[in-house]
Amino acid sequence: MKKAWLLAAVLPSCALAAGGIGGYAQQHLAYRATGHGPCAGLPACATMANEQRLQLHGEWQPGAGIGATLRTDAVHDRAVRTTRLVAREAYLDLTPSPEVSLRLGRQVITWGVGDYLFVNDIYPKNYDAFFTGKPFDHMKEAVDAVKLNALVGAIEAELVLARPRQDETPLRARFLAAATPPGMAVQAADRDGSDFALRVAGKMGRWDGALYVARYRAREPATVGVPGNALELELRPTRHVGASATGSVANGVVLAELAYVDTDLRAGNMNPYLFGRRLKALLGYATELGHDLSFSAQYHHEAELDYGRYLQSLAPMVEPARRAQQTVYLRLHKRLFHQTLGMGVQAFASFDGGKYVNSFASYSIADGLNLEAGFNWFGGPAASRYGMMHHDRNVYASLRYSF
Amino acid sequence: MNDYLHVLRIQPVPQADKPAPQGGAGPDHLAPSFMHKHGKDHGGGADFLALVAALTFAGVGAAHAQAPAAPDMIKKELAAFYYSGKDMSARVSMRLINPEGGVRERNMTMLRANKGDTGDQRYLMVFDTPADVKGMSFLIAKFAKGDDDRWMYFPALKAIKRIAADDKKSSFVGSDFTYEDVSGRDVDEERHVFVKADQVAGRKVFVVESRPTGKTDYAMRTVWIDQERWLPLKEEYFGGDGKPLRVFSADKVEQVGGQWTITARTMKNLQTGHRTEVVFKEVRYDIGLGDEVFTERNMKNPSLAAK
Repeated sequence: MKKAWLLAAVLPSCALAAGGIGGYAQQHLAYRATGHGPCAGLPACATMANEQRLQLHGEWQPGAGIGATLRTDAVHDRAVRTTRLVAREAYLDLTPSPEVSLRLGRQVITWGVGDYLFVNDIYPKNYDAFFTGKPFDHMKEAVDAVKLNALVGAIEAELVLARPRQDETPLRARFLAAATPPGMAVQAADRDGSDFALRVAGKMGRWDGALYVARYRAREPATVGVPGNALELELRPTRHVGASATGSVANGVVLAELAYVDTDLRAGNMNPYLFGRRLKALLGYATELGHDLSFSAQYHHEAELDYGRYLQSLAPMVEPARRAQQTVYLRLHKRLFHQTLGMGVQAFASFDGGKYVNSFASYSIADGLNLEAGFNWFGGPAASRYGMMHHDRNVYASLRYSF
Repeated sequence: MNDYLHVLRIQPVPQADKPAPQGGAGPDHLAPSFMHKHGKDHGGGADFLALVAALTFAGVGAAHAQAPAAPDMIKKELAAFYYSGKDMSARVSMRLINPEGGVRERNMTMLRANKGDTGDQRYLMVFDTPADVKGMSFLIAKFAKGDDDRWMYFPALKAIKRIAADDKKSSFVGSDFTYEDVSGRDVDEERHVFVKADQVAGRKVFVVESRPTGKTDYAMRTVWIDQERWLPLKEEYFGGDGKPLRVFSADKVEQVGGQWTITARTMKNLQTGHRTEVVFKEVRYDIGLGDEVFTERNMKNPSLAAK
């Protein structure tokens, strides 16, 4: 945190000196759309989010082959009573030749080809932002990393050495589904070690293909009860081998991903969605149905290959998840009035009966001034991944002024 | 001979400076444009007039033998408009103006390179303003035959997505131009008929009518092509009911690096009154843009492309 403050204080002055500064001011609100009785004990019960955010973005390029970027967020959320200053991104770019580049520092990295169902994008997400309807750029979190990128002929290789970072899960102060029993403390996840990942990408005719190899800490923590009425979160070592491809088929785009993932499970785990050896697959199709009317569909499959070992790892009181997890994702998006007004719906249906529907609308009031609003609806059996969030249904709105 | 008579029959009243009508054969060419619009058939009298016209103007056609056929006019127009030079870079400013006068702006850097003489091209467009799209980029792989491939880069996510967009219908960043208007269309996707020679703003032009062979959002397009520079000075798009949909105008034509270039253009939607004005600045040709420029890597880091 001290480092973040230092970066936040020093780098903007460089950016200002270079004259390359921008950013946005944003107000985001989310209100619970279900009865408030069950959430009476939560700090963010009726108002799930009331966040004011100022982001400053600066770029500094003192010479050929060198550049620095800083993106800092000052955030105040009245609903959960937090105020933070974070360096969302802070990195140095070195480009010794057009074929080789090095990026050092805090940076967002996105791999894979899926929209919201991830197979090979091993980098951290922010589900708290996603489930409260924040603009989609809040979906990804940065990692502290060294990234080497090299172009060898038509092959692009990306090697990343990063400090482990877990996904930002829905806040306990905000989401009933994430709430811990009264009096129980949660200890931060262990982040020792380094993540190593390699992506090699190239063309196969008119198809884009990529291979992935990684050894990293799982982004979803194992949760283990420890003495002293506390929960300990731990990011378990994971190995990953995967592939992805996208291409144009039948007036649309087909995307496919496959991965073998092996996470070392720990006995006493209370997180039923942390699997051990598993296969993950994604198949999707997107097309334009009419004028500025787009449609996409994706199918995600995750199958545990060693279900016995998984069952043995679970704490006795934990209800195990099914051996195979399947999710279907559908999205319909229409843009009107020269793309200033957008509206649509996206839905996730899990084969455990859980459903999540997000209807959304956005309006560009003027260049740089955007309003977004929508509704997050969760349903299905209480034990399902989305059904357990049925008390967390919410309506939201964001107003952002970019400069 | 019969085919020749049919082709002649589709032409409006010939003019003295009109080149020989040599539009491509095919069912759509067998009816004149005014017949399509008014649904009239002039009957046997028209056949007789056509025969007279054929005999009378055969000599005129011979005198203009150097004038190309309608499809070749369109080929030359596409070549001059979309393929000039081996490659090109420009700063592009778009003003999207609604009927009430409200203005939105899009400013970008555009790089374009031809893939030899194949008709394939690569485009890279990087947005500078407005602030909410700064750093976003488009990569387009245009194929002379078949649909183009497109990718979009979202800087906040550092993510590149291959996007599905209908070339012929999708608006380019909310403007009155479609993707196809930006990167061009294949000559074989329309059937072309020479209409007449004319003048636009003092420039001699050929007027050609083009009808799409596949499904698209217009039924007919009329283009006024500069006879010397082969650039389109004006285009009108019509719906199936004959009503005008959009009109394109070349507002400023300049010679840049030996290439005649439309540096200011407007597309107006006649149904809504919305229009888009586009200005090309700092245009440069033949600067040596190779395949290595048009990569996903450069979408993420446009400064690499600048090198």
